[in-house]
Amino acid sequence: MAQKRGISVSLFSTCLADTFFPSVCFATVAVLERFGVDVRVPLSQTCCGQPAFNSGNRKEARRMAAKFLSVFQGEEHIVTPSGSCAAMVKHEYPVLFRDEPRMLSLAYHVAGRVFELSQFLVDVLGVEDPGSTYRGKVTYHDSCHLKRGLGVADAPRTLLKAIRGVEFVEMEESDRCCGFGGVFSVKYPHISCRMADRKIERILETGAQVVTSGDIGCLMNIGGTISRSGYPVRAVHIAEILAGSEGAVP
Amino acid sequence: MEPRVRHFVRNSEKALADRQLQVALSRTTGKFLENRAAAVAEFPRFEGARESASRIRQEALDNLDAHLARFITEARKRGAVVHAARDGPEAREIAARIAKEEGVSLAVKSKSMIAEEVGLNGALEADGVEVVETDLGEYIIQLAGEPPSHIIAPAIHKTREDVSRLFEEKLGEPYTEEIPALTRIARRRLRDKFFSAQMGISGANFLCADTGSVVLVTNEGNGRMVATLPRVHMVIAGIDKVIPRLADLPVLLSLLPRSATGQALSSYVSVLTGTKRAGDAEGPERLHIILLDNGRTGILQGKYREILKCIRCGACINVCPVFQSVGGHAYGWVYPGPVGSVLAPLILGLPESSPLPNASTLCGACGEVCPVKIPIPGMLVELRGDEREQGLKTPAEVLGMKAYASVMSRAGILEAFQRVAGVVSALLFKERKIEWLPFAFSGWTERRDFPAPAPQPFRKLWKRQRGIRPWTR
Amino acid sequence: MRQTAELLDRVRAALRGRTVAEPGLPYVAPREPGAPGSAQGRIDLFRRKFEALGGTFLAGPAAESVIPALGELLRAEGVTALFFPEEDPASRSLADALVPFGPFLLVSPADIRQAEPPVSAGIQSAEFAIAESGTIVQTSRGGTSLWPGLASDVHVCLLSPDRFLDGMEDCLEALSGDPPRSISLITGPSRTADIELTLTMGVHGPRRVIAVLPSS
Repeated sequence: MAQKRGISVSLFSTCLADTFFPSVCFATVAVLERFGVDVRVPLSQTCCGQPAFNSGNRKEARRMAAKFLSVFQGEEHIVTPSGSCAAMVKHEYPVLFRDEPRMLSLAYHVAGRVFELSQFLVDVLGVEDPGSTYRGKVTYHDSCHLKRGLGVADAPRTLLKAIRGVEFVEMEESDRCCGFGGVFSVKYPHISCRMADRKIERILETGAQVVTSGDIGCLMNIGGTISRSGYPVRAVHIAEILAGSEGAVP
Repeated sequence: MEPRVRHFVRNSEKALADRQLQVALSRTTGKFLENRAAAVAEFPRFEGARESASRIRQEALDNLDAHLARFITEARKRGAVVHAARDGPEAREIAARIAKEEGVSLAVKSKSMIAEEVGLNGALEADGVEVVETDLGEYIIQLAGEPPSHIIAPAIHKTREDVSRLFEEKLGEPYTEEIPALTRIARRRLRDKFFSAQMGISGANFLCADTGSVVLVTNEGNGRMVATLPRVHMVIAGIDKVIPRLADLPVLLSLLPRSATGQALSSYVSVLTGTKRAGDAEGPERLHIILLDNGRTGILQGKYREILKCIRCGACINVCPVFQSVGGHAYGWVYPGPVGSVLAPLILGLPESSPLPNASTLCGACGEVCPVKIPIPGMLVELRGDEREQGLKTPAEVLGMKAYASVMSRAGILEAFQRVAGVVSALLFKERKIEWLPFAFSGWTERRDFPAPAPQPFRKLWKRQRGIRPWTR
Repeated sequence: MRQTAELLDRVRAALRGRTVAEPGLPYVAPREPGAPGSAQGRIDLFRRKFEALGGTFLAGPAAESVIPALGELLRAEGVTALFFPEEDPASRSLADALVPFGPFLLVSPADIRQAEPPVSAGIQSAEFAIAESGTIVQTSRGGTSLWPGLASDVHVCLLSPDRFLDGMEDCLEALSGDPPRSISLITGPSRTADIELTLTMGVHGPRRVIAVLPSS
């Protein structure tokens, strides 16, 4: 188990995990600390502004982005359990501030230091084995922003396959959008649910007991549909599987 | 075609409930994507070609004044009459005038999205000209009186039984469910029309500026038929179809068929330059080229210029999970899917088209497959921003966003809300899930549970776990 | 004239203030590496691609050696009539030689111009063959007619070893300067999948393409 002394990480907890799934944040911290990382949590953080940006409400998005940048500027590594939030900061902050040179420069600076959790573990820490145990047949959903936005698809699989007790199985159409899309899920619920249904069909075809992903929005969408319909599958965030601490808060 | 874009929600709900459409969509988009993937896999140069094609198309647009002027000059030199139409009504008027002057009573037409865009057929038919669609799919939907549901496969939504019944009803042909037999019926019927028509009408896949050539790409061969057999050939094309040089064609053609149907090359590529020359065996005596603006110069000027790079391959449409769910008709206009969601607001205006830029999860699949690298997801977000600026968003959304931003402006405010929500949640939602949400959010809970807020937010638990005093950090 | 002038004015206005390069800088796309270096290499590649599209490739020491096989193929397709362009002596002699192997009737191209013609094979010398894609090229140069590949049920193309090119780029280069009225790149038979995505041949063109290559 590689120990990287001296690496310090600032946790970008995300508004969704902070409010609805604290266990995901604790799991993220636990995994990072397992590899000797010093994790700090800037408590003045709130939201990266993605819901506002994606829906075209640029003024509000800029406000939240400016706050984010002021909270996290100067941090060496910023790690988040959310592919879409990482992609927001990395790719869209420069778009938001394209007409403001000072903010743009700060945006680029911070963008270079943001990582999604599995990406950070594999690409920066060089971890190949998360060192945890987790019993069950697990399949993985590639969230759109993590795979297409950040180009991260191998890292989560590398980690999942190395966990003792995990029987990893690929689903068909693993990178097909689950239908969340933020505001889309309430603006066009019929289409959103149809897309979720199709994703769940693919999951059920694998016989997996657990579907995991690196984006909370996706898991809320897939998990919420499963919960209502009573399918024999659980939607669990990858951080919790890597930590072996599903649902736990201290 | 009369746009019905504003009815997207209603039309998409209908489409989701239409079992036959769902089967057809699943079958056809699945096949297109499978074929495309195979074609890309056997073409190692694919990514390099995309970059080249993107640059060629960008160059064409960035210097459109020079290239368009050159095209017009070269085409005229070789006998073409070149017209320019500012918009749909002007295009229709020009086409009708041409048909009248050339004494046309029957025209055969090879597929053209732009003709749909301006309603060309209607204008000619109003003047007593019979216009016969010759693409098998277009022929079918013309007989059925329906608009096309997909750029590449217009009759994607019809089964063979539908087609047999149609041929039986409209043509008096004996009922048969054999697809080759149905095809032979169409071949025979249309052959007669090809030979007797005075005018052939086509769009153009590309217009080559340096030679004044019109390029037609088909698999059926009807492009050549309409451009060779009748005495008059009328071409209608958007000004964005211009490419700088004939020599640019190979790289574009290495991408278009692969992206559209998964073929390395379509069956027929016709490069047509001017009218019949002395000594030629065949060819049209008269060639009319109508160049259509219809909002394209406006798009050229602005931040969405790159959408004009589109070579109409349909890959973005096939790969879009929203299109796969609702099909083409739901989009209510000529161009569906991702490309349509950008073009409709730009050509028809945002008020009419506002559902479309929002009817996307921004999954990015379209941008990934576009052969000329158009950043479609970014454009959709930009269009949503334009909606806000133009006051087209609902007051509820604007207010909601402002409230959201206010809560998120300070961690203290957010935490206060979280604590209240946590207490309420612990009391009301013992099973940690919410089964009903009010107002716009009810869309979620109709068929899904929503998570209940955690009894205490992470930041509070973290502070307690790590013994952090409220006044530090 | 006035309309096009107005259009160009609008385009110029839309592009005002651009910061891009002057026109006329051709962007040269990189060529496919590994193009066959030899004439035989080209023929072999063409043959592979052509046959993968469903084409039939007949080669022999002279046109006459493939006649019996060709005749049988045409009979199997139900062909009863042959036609060829008047100004193409090589296809004329091939057609003459084929007649007894049907028997086939020799008709003129005009006889095919009807709604329900006899099942026919159109025979013609191809101008070029493109190896990379298995494509036959016909142009309108020298009064060449498109008819045999347009209006027939089976298209028989006579190839010649010195007319094989590597790629489309080479073909367009060979025709550059002043392109003829029509350049037709034919890659396989006429096809459609518009009904239920089921592939069918022979919509508005031949349902079969046969290439004949006499090697002498």
